[in-house]
Amino acid sequence: MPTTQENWNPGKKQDRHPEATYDEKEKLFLEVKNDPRYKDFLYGCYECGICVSSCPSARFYDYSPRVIAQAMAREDVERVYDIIAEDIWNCAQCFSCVRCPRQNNPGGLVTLLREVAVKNGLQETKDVLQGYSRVIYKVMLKGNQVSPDMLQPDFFPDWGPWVGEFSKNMPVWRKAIPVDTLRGVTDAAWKTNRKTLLELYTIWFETGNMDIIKEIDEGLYDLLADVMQEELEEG
Amino acid sequence: MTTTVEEILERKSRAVTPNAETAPTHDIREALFELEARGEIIVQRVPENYVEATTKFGRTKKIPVEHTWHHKSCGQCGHIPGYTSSIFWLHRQFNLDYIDPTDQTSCTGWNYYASATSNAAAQAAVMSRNFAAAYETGYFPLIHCGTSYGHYKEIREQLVHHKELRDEVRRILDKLGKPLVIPEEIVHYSEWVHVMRDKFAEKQTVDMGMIRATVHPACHYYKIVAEDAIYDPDIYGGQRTATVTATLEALGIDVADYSTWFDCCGFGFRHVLVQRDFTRSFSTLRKIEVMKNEVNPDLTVTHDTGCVTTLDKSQFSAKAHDRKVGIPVLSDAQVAALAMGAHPFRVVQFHWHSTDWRPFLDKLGINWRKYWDEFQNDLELIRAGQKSGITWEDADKPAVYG
Repeated sequence: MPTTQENWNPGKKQDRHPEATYDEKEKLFLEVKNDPRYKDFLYGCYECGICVSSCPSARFYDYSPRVIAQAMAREDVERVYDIIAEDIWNCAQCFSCVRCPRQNNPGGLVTLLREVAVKNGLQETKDVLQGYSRVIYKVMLKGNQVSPDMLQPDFFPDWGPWVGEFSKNMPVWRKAIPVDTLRGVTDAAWKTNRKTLLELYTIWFETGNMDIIKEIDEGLYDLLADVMQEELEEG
Repeated sequence: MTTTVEEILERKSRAVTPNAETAPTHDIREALFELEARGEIIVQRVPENYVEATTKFGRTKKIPVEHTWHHKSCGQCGHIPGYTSSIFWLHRQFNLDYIDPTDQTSCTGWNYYASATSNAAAQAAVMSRNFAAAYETGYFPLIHCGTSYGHYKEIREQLVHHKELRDEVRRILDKLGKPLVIPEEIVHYSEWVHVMRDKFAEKQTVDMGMIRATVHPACHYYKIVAEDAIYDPDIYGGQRTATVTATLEALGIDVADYSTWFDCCGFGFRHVLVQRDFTRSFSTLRKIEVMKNEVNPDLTVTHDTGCVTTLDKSQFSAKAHDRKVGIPVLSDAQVAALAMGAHPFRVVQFHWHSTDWRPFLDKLGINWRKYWDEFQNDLELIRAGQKSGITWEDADKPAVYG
């Protein structure tokens, strides 16, 4: 139905997520509020909108860092749950919003909200991160977020036909880089010592990071845990 | 009394010279030294050969000139390797002592900002492992990525303010046999470029006086823990960060201003990888097209991984929609290297960039076809197995363009 002056409703429907009980929503809210970093990120809100005016996501999505700061400050459990389920993944994490005159960090609040959404395996979050799993696999296993071999035309078709040149010439172009740690490396951004990677895997297990992955994507967890445990056992 | 718009504009036009005594934030370095005195951490000192620069609130920051441990960037090394090779090439032109380590992982901050599939302890442990690795070599970390730089500054704050986090990180580092080390300064490579800019100008062989450029300051450089970024009353009246702009001006480039300079590039961390409709729209409509409409630059220059990638790669699809795009994108290090005669392909590696850079090189009077042919010859030798790859021996010598 097209939006007209008659049916236009800028407000949001109440109780948009009846699938979760109030207690479940409150549990998530308290997890965010009890994070030690929370007190560093929220001091109150003037409703001045400076954060919104500098927010890139607010220009393209129905998204507002001010609403997030407000809902958290008001301890509006229902609204915070709506934000976790619908809004947090729109944030670009640029931290332009930290020009807040109250020294709030709405981008930081989003980070905490995201962490809680991931840790609790919310379905909306699983859906958002579904296409992203291969990147998590790469960064946790190789210690690099991206690698040259990711530059494939079917992954980046909108970057133009030149991406085809990258993938076609990849082995030889990578050899034609004078930096010793980059030369010839295609499956990672640079050469990393095996010992360094074992230390990284130890960090993932010791900090509970692997449990987080298990919650959000069990298949990915199995893949990662198999490789890492085998490597760690070999020492 | 009413303040008029003219009065506000006049006030804003005056240069800001901040006083460190009245800085609105604490000096984190004092807290680091206190923790060190209590035996909780080791503070790695900036090596002796350093230059002092002034930061946002008037404090002094030591920028090491050499004896640096290069904390590389995954986006730079993975997708725009000429960014990394230009940073090293610049060091090599001055015979500066550095380490390009293999005992380094990414900060994993890109993934954290994209997916939050981590936690505070893991992020702090990754940072601390890298810093301990640098400390073990005796070399001081120089951080190539803007996000690593911003992320590490934020983690440093968290480690200082939260004892339980320090204890947890120390427990993990004990398992790895490493100490908890925090450097005296967290230094971004563009700060090194900034303090070296006059030395670059002394060795400049390519006149860049005919070039008009815009600057995109990287969000994670100056918005996260803002007080650590370099400011200078002579650059934008001290009201914006001086890095990049001061370097370009030192090289004789005309830096043109545009209205959306504060906007991010549209990278979005997760968006640039799996939700690029946002990234493409923002970077072209709010950045590139605005630059084009307002000042029509020959080039736009920035100092972070994601910004170069986003601003460069997003222009192709916008072109298909007849948007006003077509500005080549480089890092400050690549521009400085080019100005000093770095080979456009062996060092600057233009072939990894997507927006047409040829008109920019033509305007500089650089016969890029000649250098492309030279590079193609290198590739043929590599393909034929007669050469294992390009080394510094092939790349160190500055070209005499023509």
